[in-house]
Amino acid sequence: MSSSSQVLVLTGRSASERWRSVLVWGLGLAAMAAIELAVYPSIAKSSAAMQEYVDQWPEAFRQAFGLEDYATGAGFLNAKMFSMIVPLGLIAVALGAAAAATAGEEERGTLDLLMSLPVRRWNVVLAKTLGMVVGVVVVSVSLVATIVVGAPMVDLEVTAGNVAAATFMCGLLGLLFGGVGLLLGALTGHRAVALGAGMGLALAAFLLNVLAPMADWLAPWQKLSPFSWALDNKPLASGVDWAGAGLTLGLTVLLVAAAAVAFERRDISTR
Amino acid sequence: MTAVIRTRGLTKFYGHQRGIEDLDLQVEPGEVFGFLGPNGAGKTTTIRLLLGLIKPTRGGAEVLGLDLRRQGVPIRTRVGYLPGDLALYDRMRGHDLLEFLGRMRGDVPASAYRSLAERFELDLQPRVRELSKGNRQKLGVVQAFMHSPDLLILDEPTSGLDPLVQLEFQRLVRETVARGASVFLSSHVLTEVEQMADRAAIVNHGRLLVVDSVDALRTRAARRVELDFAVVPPAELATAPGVQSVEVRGPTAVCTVRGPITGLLKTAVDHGVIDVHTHDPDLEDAFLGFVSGGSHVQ
Repeated sequence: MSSSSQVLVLTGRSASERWRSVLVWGLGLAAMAAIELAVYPSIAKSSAAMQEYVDQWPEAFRQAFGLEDYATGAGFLNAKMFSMIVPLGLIAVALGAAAAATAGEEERGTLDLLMSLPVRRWNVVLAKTLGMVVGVVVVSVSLVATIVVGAPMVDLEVTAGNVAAATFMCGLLGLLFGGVGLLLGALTGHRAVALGAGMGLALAAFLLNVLAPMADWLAPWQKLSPFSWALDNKPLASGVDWAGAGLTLGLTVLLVAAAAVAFERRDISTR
Repeated sequence: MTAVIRTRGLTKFYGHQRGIEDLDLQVEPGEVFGFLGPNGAGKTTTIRLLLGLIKPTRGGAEVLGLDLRRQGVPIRTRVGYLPGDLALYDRMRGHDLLEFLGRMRGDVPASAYRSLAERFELDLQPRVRELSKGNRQKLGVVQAFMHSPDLLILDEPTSGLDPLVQLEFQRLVRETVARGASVFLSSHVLTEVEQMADRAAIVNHGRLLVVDSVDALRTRAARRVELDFAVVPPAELATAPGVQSVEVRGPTAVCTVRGPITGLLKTAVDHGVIDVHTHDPDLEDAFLGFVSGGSHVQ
């Protein structure tokens, strides 16, 4: 058995194991996008009044919550979906898969059986990572499809390319925190640690990016938040920011590699 | 021929707690090797070391002539493993699970696991979580044997199997050895190892106590014999051949005997014994003698 076909088989297995989470998030994000699109016409009709209302808010606040350009199509979608729900949703999809990957199997005891097969440990980490990517891609595609199909129906002006770009950046954020979850799971063998600490870090990074413009003492640290790498360049209006994407993806690869090293060295615990 | 398993000073500590220490073992090709010891003796630790699930603190091992530390994948290609605390993917159906494991191993034909499942009358349609403990264990047996491995490492294999299935399992083990494979079988039940193994090792508290043929071990094992008398058991019982200790409870004498019980029975009959109860050697009792170095007094 070549190790590449083992990785393929195991990738399929880990991806299909997550079908519930992927289905719930895929349908959930698509449904939320559909609802937001449905209310867009009434917002657009009163766009001048809405912009006036939004303009009364402090500038930092508007920036933080993506409220500038609320009246434009991209601005609206950004405020309603891509400033918070989409990145956190995709992080949840990835992190759930990451925590289940090695730590979840270790806790359930099935890792003994899996690792009694003639498969290298880093290949298992690789396959579990690819399984996580599959989940994020499926949820992303369902979201992009919903928006690309729905936007013209309500005269919301946004290009399909930019919707894909924004979702792509959010997906990269998801994979980055998934990488954190993989590493924590490989180090500790505890699903709750991987999930809890991973989500905690994601929320902290999110808040840092949101609050930094409002607090002077936080401002210098904003660039540390992966949310700023992925979203500050407003991908919904200007497409993929390759520098931010590269940085996010590079760090993810490093985290996965560290998870593989940690898992290679790990004593698999019994239940 | 090279040994199937050869450990050299194999040691595993969990922090300060000893899992197994300085284990030197050699399992020969084509034999069923019993690995006996009470729960917590270090059996599972040893087995999980041999599969590379945990790393030795020091020492090493060769399995099928391959180095454990560097050649784990080629070793596991040729090994079938039945975990002691078997956990399977709960949501998978039996045939999906076996197909998955078979594909991870390369080309294990469906016929291989289907015929084993039929042999154990195991329905592969239900999901794992819907199976009884015994049927899950059967699934574990099937996956361990389905790729015709050269070495089977079985941790308490018959736990949860009912007696008829245990007999079928023993037949399978014999056939497996007949085709040239070897079996490393851990158990805390002496009789189970007696029925299948040629040689056995006994471990306790993480140390190897003895390695010998099963016949020799049985002779050396102490067993408990209860003798009922009308009034009071005679004092002569204590000096009968093979008797290690005698405890008197009213009209009953509880004797610990090593080897044949002929001498004890003769003495008992001479003094009008009414009833005799013998017990299979309980492992704890039987091998405590090896711990204290021979004599064992209750």
